[in-house]
Amino acid sequence: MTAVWSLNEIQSLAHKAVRGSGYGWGVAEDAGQAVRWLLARDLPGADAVLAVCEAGARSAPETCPLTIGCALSDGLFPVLEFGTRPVVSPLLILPFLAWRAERDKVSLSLSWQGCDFVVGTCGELSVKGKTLNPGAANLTISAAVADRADHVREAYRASVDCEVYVALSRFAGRTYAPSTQASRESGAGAGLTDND
Amino acid sequence: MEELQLRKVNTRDPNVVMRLARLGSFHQSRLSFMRILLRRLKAENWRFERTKFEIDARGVGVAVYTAIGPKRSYSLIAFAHDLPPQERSDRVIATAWDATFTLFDGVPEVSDIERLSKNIPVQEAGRVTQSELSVSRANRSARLWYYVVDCLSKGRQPSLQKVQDVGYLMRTTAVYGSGKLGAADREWTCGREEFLAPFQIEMLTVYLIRTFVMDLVEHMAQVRSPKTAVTLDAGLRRRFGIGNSTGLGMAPFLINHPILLNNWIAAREEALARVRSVHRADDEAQSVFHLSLRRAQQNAACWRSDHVIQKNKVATLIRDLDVLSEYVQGGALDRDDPWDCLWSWAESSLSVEGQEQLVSLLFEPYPQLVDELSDCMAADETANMRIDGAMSAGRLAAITREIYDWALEINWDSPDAQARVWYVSEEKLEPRLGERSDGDLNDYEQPLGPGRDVARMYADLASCKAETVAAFLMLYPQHRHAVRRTQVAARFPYAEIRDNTIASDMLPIDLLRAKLSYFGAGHFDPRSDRWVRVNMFQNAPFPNELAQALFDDWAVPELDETNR
Repeated sequence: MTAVWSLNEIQSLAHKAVRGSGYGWGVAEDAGQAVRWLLARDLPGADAVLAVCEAGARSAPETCPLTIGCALSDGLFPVLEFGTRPVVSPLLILPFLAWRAERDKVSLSLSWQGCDFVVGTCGELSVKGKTLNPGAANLTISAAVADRADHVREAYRASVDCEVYVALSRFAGRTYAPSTQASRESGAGAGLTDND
Repeated sequence: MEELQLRKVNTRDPNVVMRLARLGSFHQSRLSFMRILLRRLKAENWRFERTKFEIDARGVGVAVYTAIGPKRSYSLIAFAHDLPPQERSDRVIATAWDATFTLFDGVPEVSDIERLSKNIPVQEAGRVTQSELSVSRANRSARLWYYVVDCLSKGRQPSLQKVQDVGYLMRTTAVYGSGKLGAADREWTCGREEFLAPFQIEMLTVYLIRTFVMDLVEHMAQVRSPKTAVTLDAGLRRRFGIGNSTGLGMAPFLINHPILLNNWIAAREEALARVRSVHRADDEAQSVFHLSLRRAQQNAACWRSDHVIQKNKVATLIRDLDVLSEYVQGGALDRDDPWDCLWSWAESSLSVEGQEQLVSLLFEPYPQLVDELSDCMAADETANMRIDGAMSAGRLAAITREIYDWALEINWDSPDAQARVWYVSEEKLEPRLGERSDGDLNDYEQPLGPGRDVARMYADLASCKAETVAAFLMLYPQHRHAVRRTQVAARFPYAEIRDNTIASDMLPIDLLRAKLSYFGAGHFDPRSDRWVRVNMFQNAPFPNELAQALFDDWAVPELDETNR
């Protein structure tokens, strides 16, 4: 069953879930923004990030979409040198590549078997194919010409499967400290009567 | 007027402005969000209608207030409840309230109200949709509510003194916007002129809540004693604001939104620099300043708090304003560059509390220099949060030394330096502040101690051979957060608080006051070092009075007879 959420809710959830699965806060911030970017284009970003959380931060960095994504948006290497490589949850790479395209002012294509994306220099996106969110794929990045006629409309709501939401919440929950009596009494700073 | 437009004076150094003690001394000003809202509502002739008021004799029911602007309308839907006194709590852990609210995008249908009646009264346990822009709740001030109902029902006006002592009949304990509980995300509304300035949705919500609460108290007096009840006199009615009780949940906001913080502070600093650049103060400007100062003196004299820190601050403020008043009466404003000279004098003669009050006072004579800056206070945070990986490691080290020199000088091995831990509690999912020495909290620490995090990043940067930021982050992904902050702070001078936010002596109320001053709150009344009460829209004209009211003249009360 799918439910509708605000983009903020799912961004915040993904941010915490990625942190809860062992990544640093900084990577988690980018992950939250990437998930929001995908959901705002009606792409299954929450499902994709859940797979990364389940693999955990100790999975191989060379196939981790968050590690590769950050390197791509940071400009660690010339983007066309990426070529073709195996990547887990490759959909998560898409926002990072879009940010790179905007920065370098060059349209780029991201593809795997059954799916082909083109990101333009002003945030345009076009999609061909149905295999949007494979668990893993051989990902190819290449130069492209943005197709302005066929770009994805931006959405302001996030449709997320309830089971995915619950699973992400479990990872997010790892960032919460268990309550103690002392924290209840002092943590929030209340103490005086507040009923006057 | 040409001379007004040349800015000769520079904005203040972030190392001076961005200290916790100074941020915790800010006062409301022309750039406060409540004032920005009411200026717009008045300038655009917004109309207001109460389209529904179905509240029974127990005070239970629903009311709808619609604000009608030139392009769009917004409706406050208010649910009034009958809450047993023992269930009334301002803590975020409460589950029932005296009244609950949502700001609806447009005019609600009966079916919308029906849907919301199942979700708004339960707050966090409910869900709303993109049609709802905010979700809020409020509790009565028991000590004032029953007194006012009693007076009005017997045909009497409540005493001004008792009204002043509390200042509000209800206080909000949360006003949620920006997608919380499923409400509309900010992107959905940020293109609308009326919501360009920050927190306008929340401020409009509270403004309409105030109107509802006043109607409700008069209604309760009326149903109790229909033959004798009276309504409040207009002058006394205006003395009621809406209280707001704010705890630690709001404190991390300024740290978590560095670009927004920068834009708020930068607008205020630009305004200060513009006024200081004015070459001659004409008679009208001088007269507005003198009057504003006298009103501020009267306002400070009736600022009540039982908290020892605040008591001292208010006493200092009163003394500062007396000194300031004496100084400017000696002709100090008749010289060239009067405001810049006054400012230089203030820096050596007034406390931080008095200096920051003066900043607000300097804005009052110059709406034409100040008010337009409200357009610069919003922020596109997403676009500006990308890391510049091409920056050289040497450049990152240089900007770190420049911005975080204060943090690099702190001995982070000292227990006092990182005595506190910001964390989120499992129970209420709200930010909390704990003692590191209690143990067990380290694993749950939120990234809210930028000074320490940047110092750690700098240590690794210094021993690393990476040539670029991108290469450094590939080796040290754990520093990604600190690198981002540092780059943001290099682009936005007022983005970073230049103090240790996890120190043993850090006061969270400084963060709360800074934010609440931008809302436009006054009379900050800390209830502990991490919880503060304020009053919002006190003395503001009600919607039906806006058209006749003086322009933006409500934030500090007019002079009483005795002070004229």
